[in-house]
This record gives sequence, C-alpha cells and structure tokens, in this order.
Amino acid sequence: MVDEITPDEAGFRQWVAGRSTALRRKAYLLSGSWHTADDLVQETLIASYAAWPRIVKARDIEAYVNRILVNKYVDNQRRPWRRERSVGAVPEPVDSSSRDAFDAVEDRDSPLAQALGALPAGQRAVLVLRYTEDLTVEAIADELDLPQGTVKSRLSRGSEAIRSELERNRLLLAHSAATSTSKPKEL
Amino acid sequence: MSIDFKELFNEEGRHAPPSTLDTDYIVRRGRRVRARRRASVGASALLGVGAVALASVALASTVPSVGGTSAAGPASSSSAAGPALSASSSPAAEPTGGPTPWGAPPADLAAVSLPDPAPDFPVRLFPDSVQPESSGPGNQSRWVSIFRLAASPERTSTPSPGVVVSHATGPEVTMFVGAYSKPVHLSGLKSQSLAGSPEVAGVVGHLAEYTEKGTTFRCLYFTTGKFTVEIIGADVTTAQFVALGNALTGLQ
Repeated sequence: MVDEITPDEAGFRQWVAGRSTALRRKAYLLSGSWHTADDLVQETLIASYAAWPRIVKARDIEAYVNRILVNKYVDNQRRPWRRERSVGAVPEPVDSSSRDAFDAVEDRDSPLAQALGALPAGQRAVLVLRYTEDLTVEAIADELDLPQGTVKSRLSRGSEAIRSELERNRLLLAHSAATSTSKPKEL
Repeated sequence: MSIDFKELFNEEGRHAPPSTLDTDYIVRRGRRVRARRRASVGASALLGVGAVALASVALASTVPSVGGTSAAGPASSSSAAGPALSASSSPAAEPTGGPTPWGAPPADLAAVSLPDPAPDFPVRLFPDSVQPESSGPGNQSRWVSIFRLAASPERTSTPSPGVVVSHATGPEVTMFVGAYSKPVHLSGLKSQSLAGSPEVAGVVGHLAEYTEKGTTFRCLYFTTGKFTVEIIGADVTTAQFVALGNALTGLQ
C-alpha cells in the first residue's frame, strides 16, 4: 500500500526515495553518462522541489518530473557552455573510490548506449520515454508538449537508427571474430 | 534483424554506480529557488503598485497646472508628491501587508460559496480555495475562488512505488470565480466557438466549446456584478453548467 504523496517536504522525500533510481536510469539513458545523469537528476529534483505543491496538485507527478528532466536535458544539450565554468581552484577533493566506481561502469559502454549517443536529443528523449516508461505516443506528446505526428516520426526514425547501428555492430563483431579465428597461430 | 526494444532498454543501465544524490542538499537548493521566486513575484507586484502610485502622483500634479494655479514649479510638485504618494500607498500597503505578496483575499470573494454537495457534482476533488491565479484581463495575478468538482469519486492507481495516479470516473468540472468584471467577448477566447447563450444567475452567459488533444471541453462564462465566473468541463450538459452557476451564493 502506497501512501498518498503530500505537497510538503516529507512527501517530496518520500517520492524521491521511491523514484530516484528510475529517474537516474532515465537520465543515464538520455545523457549516456552516469556523471551527467546525476547532475541532471539533481537539477531536476531541485526544480521539482521548488514547484512541489503545484506538482502534487496536478496529480501526475511522474509526468511532470519527466517533463522537467527531458527539458533540462535538451536545454543542456543546446547550451553546453552553460554547464561549464572556470574556477580558480578545485572546490573539493575528488573521491577516488567514487570515481573508480563510475569509471568501472562507464567502461561497459553498451551497443545501445553508443547507438543512443549518436541520436539527436529530441529523438533520444522520445525513445527513452517510450521504452522505459512504456508510454503511448499520446502520453509522450502530452509530456513533451509536442504534436503526436512529431513523436511518431521521432520514434520511427530513432528506432530505425538504433536498429541499423546495432546491426552494424553485430556485423563488425562477427567480422572481427571471423578474422581472429582465421588468423594463423604464431608459434 | 528483429529487436525487442523494451527488453533492450530494460537491460540498459542496470549496473549503476552508487548514487551521489544528496536529498538534503537538493531540498536546501530547492528552498532557495522557491524563496527567490516568491521574492521576484512580490517585487513585480510592488513594481506594478509603484507604477500606479507614480501615475496617480503625476496626474495629481498636472491637475492644478491645468486649472491655472501659478506655483507649479518642481519644488511645489515634489512637495505635492509627498502626501499624494503616501495617500496612494494605502492601497499599496494591502498587497504587501498580508501573509502573501498579494495580501489577504477580498472579503466579498471569500464570501462566494457553492453548496456541498453541489448539484449533479457531489464530490469535491480538492477543498474549495481562494488563491491568486494568472488569468483575466492582462493575464494578471488576481484572487480567484476555485471549486473542483466531480460527478463520482476518482479511481486511484499506483503504477509504481511512491506514485499515486488519479483517474476520472465521470464528468468533472472546475469553477473559477474572479473578483473582476470581465465582459466576455468571443474574440478573446482563443479557438473557442460559441455554443449557446443560456441564462444563468439572472444574466446571459456564454457557452463556448474547444477541442484540446482530442477532448472537447465546454465552458460557461458569465459576469454578474463585479464577479466573473468560468465553469469548465468535458461531457457536461448545458443544464448542469447552469445549475452550478445558479447554485453559487454571494455573487451579489
């Protein structure tokens, strides 16, 4: 039994505790990096907290927060210079254990992550909402404030691009496997 | 090549590094954003009131010169500005004096009520409230009474942990009562078409229709005295709209 989410801080913390993992995964699929995903989720949650009473009143919390997440992601893609600032000194020491944990995961760059990385931001956002949230075209159009036709075309083009990229990867792997087995062993 | 995209996306991102999210930090930053927003809204309201005050001062200082009084120099106009400003700042004190940047809601608006249960819509989706809304002429923030009603209780579902989604099980309406007189003119209602002019609360109302994302919404607008009422809903009959409008008390 899930309690009703309240418009106060306790309600916000309760929602974050339940949904931050899924939100983080979505942010990762959008950005292709866990570092960026955490930044994106943090920005999204700060904006969500600021508007929390209104979000709870609108009832569909997930849709509202998804919209913030995607808008932040698209916004950051458009203006990457906004995310980088020069500072005189490193503000805090790097936590090496945390960095190692991130690096270990980042190294496992999957074919899907590579294929997603090659897509424009808008297409990627539509695909992530479709296949992680199982949202319909209508719901995605509603969340992203896009015409349904645009969502359909982004979905179709994005899926096709991923399919081709994965197929290319598969052929490359097959080719490299074939060449490595056909190579004469060195004595 | 056939690909199960859902399966593919499900597998992706399973091996996440430990989260570095700090909810306390997020809440602290969120509070600051909220405070900044409130301050900027308050400042805009003050700026607007200040502009009105200055305009009234300017008007007051030009009136004697039109009348032919001789000493309309800068010194006398600035001395006239003193009391004029403080006199016109008494309405300015109202918006900043209350618990919100807008002050307290007007008493006559707070007195407008709708019986509970309302005709044909016995369910209150939210408690009745009086709150500032950006609507009406000039899209300014004004005090509005809001009634959210439904013909039957909503159904709730929990699609994922921590998320409660409500689904309507019948017609729902939202009623806005604004403490401003807004003569309705259809050219001001974007993409809406007139569907009738029923009599409601002793005046002629305007019933408009518009379609948004496949749903046809119907709205009844009417202005009585200094209040403008807007009732919006889908699958609501004209008779139901009129009954709700007639049920409002305190409009006179």
